[in-house]
Amino acid sequence: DKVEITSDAMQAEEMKKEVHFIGNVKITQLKSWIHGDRMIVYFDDNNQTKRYEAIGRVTFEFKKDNHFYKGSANRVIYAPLDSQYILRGNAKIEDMINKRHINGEHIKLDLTSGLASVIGNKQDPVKFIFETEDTK
Amino acid sequence: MGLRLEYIISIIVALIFVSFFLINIEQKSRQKNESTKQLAFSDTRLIEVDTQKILGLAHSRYGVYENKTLILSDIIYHTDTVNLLQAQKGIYKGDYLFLEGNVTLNQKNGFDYTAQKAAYNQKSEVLSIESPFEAHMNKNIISGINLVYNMKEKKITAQKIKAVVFTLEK
Repeated sequence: DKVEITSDAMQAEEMKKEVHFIGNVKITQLKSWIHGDRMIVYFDDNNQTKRYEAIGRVTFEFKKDNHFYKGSANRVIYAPLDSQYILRGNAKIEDMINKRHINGEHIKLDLTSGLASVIGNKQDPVKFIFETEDTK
Repeated sequence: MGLRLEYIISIIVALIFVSFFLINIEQKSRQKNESTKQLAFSDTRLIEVDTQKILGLAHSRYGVYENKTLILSDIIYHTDTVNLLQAQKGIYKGDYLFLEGNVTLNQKNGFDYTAQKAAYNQKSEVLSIESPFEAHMNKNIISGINLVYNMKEKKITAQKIKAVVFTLEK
């Protein structure tokens, strides 16, 4: 799959298989996108991307098949091979289809299955808001 | 009828004067040509050294040393930190090697870079591209409006980035 990235600047090191995109970073893949202050793209030995790490004021929209999530976090790690997103630090996710809202310190979201696991901490317990249908 | 004697003599004198000046002019133009192009060579390998080490190795299809400036065509350039730097034209000036036309940089690792203009500082071992560039690694492409490649530290920085990278999905 093709992923498009725009940013103000870029830094790379020849020996390290990673590229740092810096400033107003926007990454787009099909209908999903992630914004952040900095994005690190890691390449594997075949020069394919293996992991994306967005850092700093990260906001996102993930759309795939019949899943649609919006949210934000301090850091978002995307592993394309597993189709998994890991959100760290002040993480919030809105499930736009099922009208659910999750807050937590650490959220792992599997976009294929739609499963999300959430970890909170003492100061910031997990918060889970969902709508229930009114019983007649 | 016939031409009067004075006219004939004045024509001859005029001719003498003209031929005298002509010879002078011709000599001057030949000298001018020779002084600019002191050295020309083709299919050459240039090895640049200083007291410590080899600064650079340049292959060139055709080169001219003119007005204290070395100009090489179809230059292929290497150093211990530059794997392969090529361009249609390379101009040596002081510490700099100015490159013009289809400039390509291929390093052992990472992306390959292309641009139309670049300048390589042999002393600081920094390549500067002040015009749009593209970087390729397999199908991945990164483009920007300028780039600095520090060969010693093997670090790259660039501005105004657009990138297309490819990823394997589950």
